Amino acid sequence: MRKLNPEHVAAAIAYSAQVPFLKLAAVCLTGLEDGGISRMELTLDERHMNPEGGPHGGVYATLVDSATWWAVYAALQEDVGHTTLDLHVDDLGRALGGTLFVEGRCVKLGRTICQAEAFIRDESGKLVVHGTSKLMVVPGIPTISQAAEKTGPGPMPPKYLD
Amino acid sequence: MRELNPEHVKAAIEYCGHAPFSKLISFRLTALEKGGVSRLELDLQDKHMNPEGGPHGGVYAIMVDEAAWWAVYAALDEDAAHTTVDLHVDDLGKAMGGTLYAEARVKKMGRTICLAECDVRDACGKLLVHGTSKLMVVPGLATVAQTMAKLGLSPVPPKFMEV
Amino acid sequence: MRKLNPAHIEGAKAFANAIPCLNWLDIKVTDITLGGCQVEVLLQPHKHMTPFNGPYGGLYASLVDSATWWAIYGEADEDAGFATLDVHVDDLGMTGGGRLITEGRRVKLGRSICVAEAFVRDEAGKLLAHGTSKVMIAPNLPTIDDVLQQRGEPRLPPKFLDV
Repeated sequence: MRKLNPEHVAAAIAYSAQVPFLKLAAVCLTGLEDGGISRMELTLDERHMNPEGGPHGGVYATLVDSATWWAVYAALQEDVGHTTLDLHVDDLGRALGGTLFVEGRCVKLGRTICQAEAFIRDESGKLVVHGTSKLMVVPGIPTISQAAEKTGPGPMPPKYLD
Repeated sequence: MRELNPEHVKAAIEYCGHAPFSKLISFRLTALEKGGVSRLELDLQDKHMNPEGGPHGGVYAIMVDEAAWWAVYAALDEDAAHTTVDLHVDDLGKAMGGTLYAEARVKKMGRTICLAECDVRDACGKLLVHGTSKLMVVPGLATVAQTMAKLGLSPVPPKFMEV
Repeated sequence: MRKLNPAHIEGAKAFANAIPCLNWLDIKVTDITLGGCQVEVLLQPHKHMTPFNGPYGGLYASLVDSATWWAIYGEADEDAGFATLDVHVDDLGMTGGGRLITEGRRVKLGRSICVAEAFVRDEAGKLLAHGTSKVMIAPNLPTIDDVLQQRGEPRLPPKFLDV
């Protein structure tokens, strides 16, 4: 299992913080770990809610989509990009409010097809959503390192400590 | 035979527009049709994008989730309420910009479990995303009419009319 | 925490392994635990393989369907009857033969909707398929004891031990 460079992880977190849609939805990447683990958080506020109460399902879908993408990122080689093929979200319970904690896990890192899952828990630890996603490794599509260099915040440190 | 009351549809569109999340993401409900059809639109802006290009996948998932919910709503009895059980989204193409158009249709209205599917296209009609969602009818859950009344959007026009 | 009664589990396994379709595919439920289970099959060329030298995709689907169902069974109340709502399978790899070991894990045991996931691996531990399934619990759905009673067979021993 390759070891992620902590400086690259910090740069990835900074990059994620300025992705327009994640900023809009207040989704925060908080960690990447060896072997394909991602951690994200979202603190619910009125903007995320349905009129009837409770977060909009799209909040969960956005978290599963992001967490699975970052989980595969945390295991993928440095020089290839990847993209989501599909997303499956199972709603398991109602989060009452507060912060949602998301753990993404890479289940399979294939040469072309990767699979990841995500678990969303509320502050009490209750599992409110489970989701899975298939992603495809695509040589030639921009990596976040390339995007960071082109559009900011600037070149990223090497991804792995070898 | 019952048809959706156009006045109720107008009220539902307004209700959707008032919802905090629809304001945040800027999607809008544009139609509800009998038999369980809904249409939703979203004008892509910088706030929806990934730096690497194209809208964030969450945008598509949000549209499928919302459109499927409203499609089932369009077919559901007035005094019933429903909630999303799951969502499945297949990414089929990349949007370059402009307006996204979602159309959702009910495949099955069950006593408890309903299934809807949804296509999201760009302004040229290119299919970007296909999705399905299962929704559950939940006795005792607040209906749209009840929530509308609670939010002061009353009187709520009757949902259906006989023709 | 509840403890499963080993005598009930033996009976449940015997019931599972006598299900005609599982029997026909030589799929065996080898263990049921609280929120988990193990299901195995020994690949036979004339039965399970495609001409392209991998197991038939429907076999992965059957393994995921079985493993998720029995994982939920391992934790659900004794009087719960349930019905599968969906099975989602992601095919991730192939193998030329040997034993497939599928681990089912309960993800969530809800009041009406339960979710489980399953991992299909070969003997070397390589992940060949991953899947999820949702199962609905409802009071009017038949239980194993209902089926046994209909057949005139004795009920299973109590499912849980008092601790």
